[in-house]
Amino acid sequence: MKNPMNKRFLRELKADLGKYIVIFLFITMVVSVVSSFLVANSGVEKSYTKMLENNKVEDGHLNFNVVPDDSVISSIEEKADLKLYRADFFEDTMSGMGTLRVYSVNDSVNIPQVTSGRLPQNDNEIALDNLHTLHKGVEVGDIVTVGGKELKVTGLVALPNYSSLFKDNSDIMFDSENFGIGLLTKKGFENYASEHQTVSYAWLYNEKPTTNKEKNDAAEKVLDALREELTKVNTSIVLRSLTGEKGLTMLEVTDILPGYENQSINFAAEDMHGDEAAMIMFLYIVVVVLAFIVSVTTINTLSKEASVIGTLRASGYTKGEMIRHYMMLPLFAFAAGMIVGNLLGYTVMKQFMLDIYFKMYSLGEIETLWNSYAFWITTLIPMALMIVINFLILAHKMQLGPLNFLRRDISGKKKKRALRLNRKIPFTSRFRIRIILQNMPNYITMLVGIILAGAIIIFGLMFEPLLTEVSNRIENTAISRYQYILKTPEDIENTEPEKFALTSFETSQKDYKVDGISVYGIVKNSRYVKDEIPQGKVLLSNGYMDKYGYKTGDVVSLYDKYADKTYEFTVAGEYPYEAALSVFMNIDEFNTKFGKTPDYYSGYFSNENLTELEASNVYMRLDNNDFSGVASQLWESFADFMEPVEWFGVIMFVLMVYLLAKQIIEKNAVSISMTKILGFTGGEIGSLYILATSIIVILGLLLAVPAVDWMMRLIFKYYLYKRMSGYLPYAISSDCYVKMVLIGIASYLVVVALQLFKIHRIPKTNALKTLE
Amino acid sequence: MSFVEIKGLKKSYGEGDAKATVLNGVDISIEKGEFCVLLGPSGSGKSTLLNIIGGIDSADEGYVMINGEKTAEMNEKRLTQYRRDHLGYIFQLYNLIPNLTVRENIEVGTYLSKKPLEVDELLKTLGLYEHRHKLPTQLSGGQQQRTAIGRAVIKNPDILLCDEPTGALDYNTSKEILTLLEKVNKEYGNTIIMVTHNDALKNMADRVVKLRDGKVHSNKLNENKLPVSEIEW
Repeated sequence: MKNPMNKRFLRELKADLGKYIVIFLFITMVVSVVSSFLVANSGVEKSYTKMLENNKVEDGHLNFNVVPDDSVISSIEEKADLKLYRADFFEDTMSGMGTLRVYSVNDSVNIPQVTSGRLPQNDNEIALDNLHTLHKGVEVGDIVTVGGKELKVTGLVALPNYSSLFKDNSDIMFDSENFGIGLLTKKGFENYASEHQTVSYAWLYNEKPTTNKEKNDAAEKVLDALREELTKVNTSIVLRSLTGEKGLTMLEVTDILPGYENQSINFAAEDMHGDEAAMIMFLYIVVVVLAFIVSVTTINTLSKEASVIGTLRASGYTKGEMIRHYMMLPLFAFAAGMIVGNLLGYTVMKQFMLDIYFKMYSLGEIETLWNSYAFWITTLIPMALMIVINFLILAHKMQLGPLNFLRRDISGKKKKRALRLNRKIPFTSRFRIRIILQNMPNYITMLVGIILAGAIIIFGLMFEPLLTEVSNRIENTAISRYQYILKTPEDIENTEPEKFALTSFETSQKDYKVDGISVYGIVKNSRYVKDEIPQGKVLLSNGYMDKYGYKTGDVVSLYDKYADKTYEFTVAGEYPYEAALSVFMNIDEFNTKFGKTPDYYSGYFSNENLTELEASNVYMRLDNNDFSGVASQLWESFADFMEPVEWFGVIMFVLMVYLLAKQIIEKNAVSISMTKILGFTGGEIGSLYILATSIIVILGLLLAVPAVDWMMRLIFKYYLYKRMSGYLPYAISSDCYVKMVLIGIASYLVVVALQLFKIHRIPKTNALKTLE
Repeated sequence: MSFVEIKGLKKSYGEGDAKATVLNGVDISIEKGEFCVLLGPSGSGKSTLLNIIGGIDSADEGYVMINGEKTAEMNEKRLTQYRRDHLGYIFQLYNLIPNLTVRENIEVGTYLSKKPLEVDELLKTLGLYEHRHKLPTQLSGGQQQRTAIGRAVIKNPDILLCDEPTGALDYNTSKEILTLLEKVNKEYGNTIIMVTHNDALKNMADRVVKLRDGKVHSNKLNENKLPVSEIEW
């Protein structure tokens, strides 16, 4: 016959609906978020990979200052076993649109995928990337002005080499708000003045390298070929100019970027993988916490039904039957939550996630299919975790014999001796201490849960003030109001500015993304870089020190990819400079080390606008806005996702505290009933039973401050810093923690109201009934 | 060899100065189908003895042998199976499952047994048939204990172990329950071992074992067994 105990399930479900609804909602919420994320992610990844292949994404690109001879191009093609395609572009700053980088339509490399409308066919037509236009509200049929000419938008496109809109590869984050791509017809492109155009070539290898090593070797081969050709061409130019020939320009490479280092191509995939790992980790942490919460509630049920369990065990019920019985309902709620969570994940939430992706990346059409991987990750593994944790805890409890259950002695401790409490402590306080001691497992689980929910809330809260802080720090630690970088040294009369030398290298630290490092040569007794730089050593900007964990005395290696040389620097200390990861050394050592003439310099630090400089010789003028703009750009990328994260944390907090607090009230139902009979008022009972929980909640929130701070530091150090280029200081505003505590307390008030209601509903007759 | 053989049973709790000897060499033999009453004051070791017979507690020395099988030699799994197949338990507190009806509580016993009795018939015997759809909270103390007896008896166990089954009941209800146990013993032939501190109940037993300070003070067959209806206390 069927086990008649099974008839309890439906009745228990009804009787303790609140508990099972909370478990159900909790897991539905988490699984729907994670499964929709994984489903959307796999869809996006599939479409992204397909686009890279079908639309022939470049294997790299290189820019020159002038158009090289055909012989240079064919020689590089031959030596590096690749094909170069002309891919010139120009940039235009459009009012309200930011910077538009304009190319002509290419049908050999970086082929556009039209997502709406069509490609331009006439000179006065343009296609724009679908992401920047989404942010700017530009649609097919609109008229935009580029370089003073009005152009009709005929279509929206996704480009395989611009799935993430990084204006500059060294940017911390893409900037789809202020940067976009435009495509003209060949003729339309030629109509724009060529002096504003950057000579660029995209390359495709004849034989695609597949492994990282092969990709690296292939890129090395390109660099070698390029160096060889540049030496050859420029030696010939020098020789020709020595013979008196005029108007010759040395051929320079202004940029070279192999595809595997191009953030615009790779960021989306890396971000998706990284986020996926983080999401799965998040799911498992939440499931483990939930499993412990469920175990605590089950142990409370065991405690409530101890004598029944003892009788059943004495009558011959096996441990396995009891474990299965008590695991069944929570697992049912959990499984139902996973099913509904997955259903939501595949339907409503999927679109929500895709919309997030569409706001972040420029992508072609996305097809989402049944994803067995997502199912495994979001259903079977969490279910297994839940079963294992609950089984182990229940099996441990069931080790106790029937007699222990009959005697209601299921704590498992040998001899219980009541903790003596000083009688000077008021009675009500002693009462509360007893409640806390009685419910220790509940409260410990609650503390862990509060810390986890607190971390999620902080994550939702921290970025806006963090990025404001970044802007402030960049401004406060600016070396000068302006940094002028010149094409060639240019002396001026004005004595306020100060010369500096500058070059840029790359980091090659294992496990970290490549960072571009600005190496400054600073004059003796600088008025701008005020710290003294010891001879033979360098100062590192604070961000560089912090991100890579360098200390004074360490040796830092930087790679010059153009010269294929690695330089080593001994760290003398830290210099407060937040705008970029930088190295500061004496200018004379700079010039000696990098083979420059003794009087070489690259530009000026200045607090004034230097109008006397030849405009055409100014390669770049950087002001604080250029640096701090990165922060606001970062916030624009994050803002949309942070509020849901914050809400998620709050809901998780409320559900978890409610579930555990409810257990405490239920466990003490008979005592509460008795206090009612004794004449305690509802408020007094509340102050005894709810205040104990309130103390723990507030303690938990306060404990969460250092705990979350510690967790965030670890996340920054071991996760964020390794995954992102550039540097974000670990600077979570104390306001965020205050807000977290206040949000926690406000959310807890909801739980208090529910607890008061629950206490109110406990009948006085509870205490008068027999112990069953 | 008797159906239940208890030899040299010793049991103590605690250690050192706090050591309390509860059973100090108990020898008892009970025949199949006997109604055995274990009598004794509080702390005499009655319940401990019952728990050891039932295999939910263990002895420090000595053994309990039921139908030729020593319980101490059984591993836990075997012991559970043994309880499942051969024993029925009735406690002073009824320990009914609160969200199962009377009938379902009794069916819990049916589920455990390979040779269960007929539920409706037993419900009628117990006088619970018209209450079969009620939950335990809707019953009186006597009705709840009858349900607990039903849960134990439905298994048709070889031995019914009763620990102060009337301890929480008034005189009339106690009589009602004891009459029922008497009836069960007569009708189904189970061996019943009942712990009580009520000396008057010795009259309803086939065998009366008196315990004092952890030892068997007396072990006698009752020559003048009386029906419960004739016993007064």
